[in-house]
Amino acid sequence: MSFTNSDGLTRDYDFIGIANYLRLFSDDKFINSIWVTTQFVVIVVIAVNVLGLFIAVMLKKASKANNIYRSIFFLPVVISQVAVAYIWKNIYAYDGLLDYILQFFGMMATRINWITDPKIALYSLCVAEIWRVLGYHMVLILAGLQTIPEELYEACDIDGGSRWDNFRHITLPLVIPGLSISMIMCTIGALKQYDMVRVLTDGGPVGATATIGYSIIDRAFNYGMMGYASSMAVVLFIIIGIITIIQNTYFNKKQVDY
Amino acid sequence: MKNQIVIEMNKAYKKNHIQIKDFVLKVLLVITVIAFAVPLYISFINAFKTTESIIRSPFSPTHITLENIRLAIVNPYVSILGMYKNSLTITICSLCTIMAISPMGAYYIARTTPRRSSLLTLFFLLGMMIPPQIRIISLVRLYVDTHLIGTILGLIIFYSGNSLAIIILTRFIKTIPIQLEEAASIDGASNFIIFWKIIFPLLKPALASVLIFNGRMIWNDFMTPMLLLKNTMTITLGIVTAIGPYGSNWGQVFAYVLLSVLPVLILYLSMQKYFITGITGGAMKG
Repeated sequence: MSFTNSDGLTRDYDFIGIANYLRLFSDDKFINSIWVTTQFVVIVVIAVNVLGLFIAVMLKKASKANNIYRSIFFLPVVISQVAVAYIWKNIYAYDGLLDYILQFFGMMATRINWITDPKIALYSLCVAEIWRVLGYHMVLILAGLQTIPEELYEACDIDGGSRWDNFRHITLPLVIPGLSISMIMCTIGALKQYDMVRVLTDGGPVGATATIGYSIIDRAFNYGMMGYASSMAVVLFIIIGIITIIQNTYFNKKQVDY
Repeated sequence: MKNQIVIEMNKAYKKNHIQIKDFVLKVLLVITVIAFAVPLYISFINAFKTTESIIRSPFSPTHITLENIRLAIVNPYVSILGMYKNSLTITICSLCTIMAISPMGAYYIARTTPRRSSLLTLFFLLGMMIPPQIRIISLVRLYVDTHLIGTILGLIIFYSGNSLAIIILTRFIKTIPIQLEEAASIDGASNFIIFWKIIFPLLKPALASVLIFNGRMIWNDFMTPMLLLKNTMTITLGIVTAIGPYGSNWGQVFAYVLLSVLPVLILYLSMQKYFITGITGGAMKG
């Protein structure tokens, strides 16, 4: 389908070879969406995995409080993306929660348009996405952490290692398999993201948050360019494939055995 | 003697030091948890507050009212109950189909020749990796041609073909010792009997996680129903339509949001453990 000029409505369409793909690379909107997506994915993946690792390390011991914390962190994963988007829409709104807090502390002279200012909108979206997926990745990393044998930490303590040594030389190298799964899942999830973008910002303002996952659906069904959108989707698929392979090989190299 | 004292002092110092660090980390954690929980808390109480009090005093639960919920349910333009019915029909029918089909497929993949098995696994893995955007575009065309577009049946068919279920179940069946089946076949059981009487009952834990994962996914899905349904609405799609792009009557908005997530929320709170392992299980084994 990505080699045709189908518009999804009429039944007849022509085979136009690779014209769609050639057009992609001169399409400003497509290049913009690639750039937006790159920023989005990099910010989300790094933040989620760093935060997720910190929280997972802190919540490793099973205790009552920790169990409650875990279920709080996991709750946004369970509810729908649409619900999450509305929660954040309210927080970012003109008279919303974030502005209220900033005003309460008197930190703001003028109101900030969190999701209508093209410069900030993408970062606001990132924060919402981080909040949504953090619990999921925390659990993934936690599962990796729990496979590390307790004896290694004891050995490190006996050798006079500090807390940081424990983390740096035992936790970090051994959690890599868990972390790599989490990072791959996070990347793929962020690349595919549609629902949140649609409800929270609708790709706006002026395409500042139009990630590739959003643009594809937008092009295919709002502009009726099904063939063209298909070729965008194929590019997305290729990108996902390449990233997965790179991350896999990179982390396999870093993996260690004790 | 003197050395001993020094060592003791060192130990005491180190212990103190660790305690302070522990304390700082704990505080950091609690702050993170609170910052994380605030949006949840806000959105929950907002469903019971008037829009004005949401804006004036977002944190305190003042002016508690059930008016929002009542208005959301009786709104003549938005039939919440109809949406619930559609969502339930779709979710339950899809889950039943998944439960009936995927174990059989997985059983075949797990027990066929290694070559076929790995080829089929690769096929279903690809199905998992392909972004939904690719599938949906071709699917809409296909559904238009087959007149499945806009029907609940079409959506159920879409959800029933589930690669993840097959992958998880295949992995699980491979861990079941083949001797069980050999014993049964010596006793004269046919393949069909072996599958339903021996394999299927053993699959329960894996099936539970498959059902939870897919149930949540189907209930929460927004993109697929938006593109495949026309006039019928699922609950997740319905609230977006009901609220509209510029909805800022926050009390109303959160009443809808709460209503749409309520079933999932109740299920989650009543069986957290299954949820957490069910939802992350796929990734960990995959």
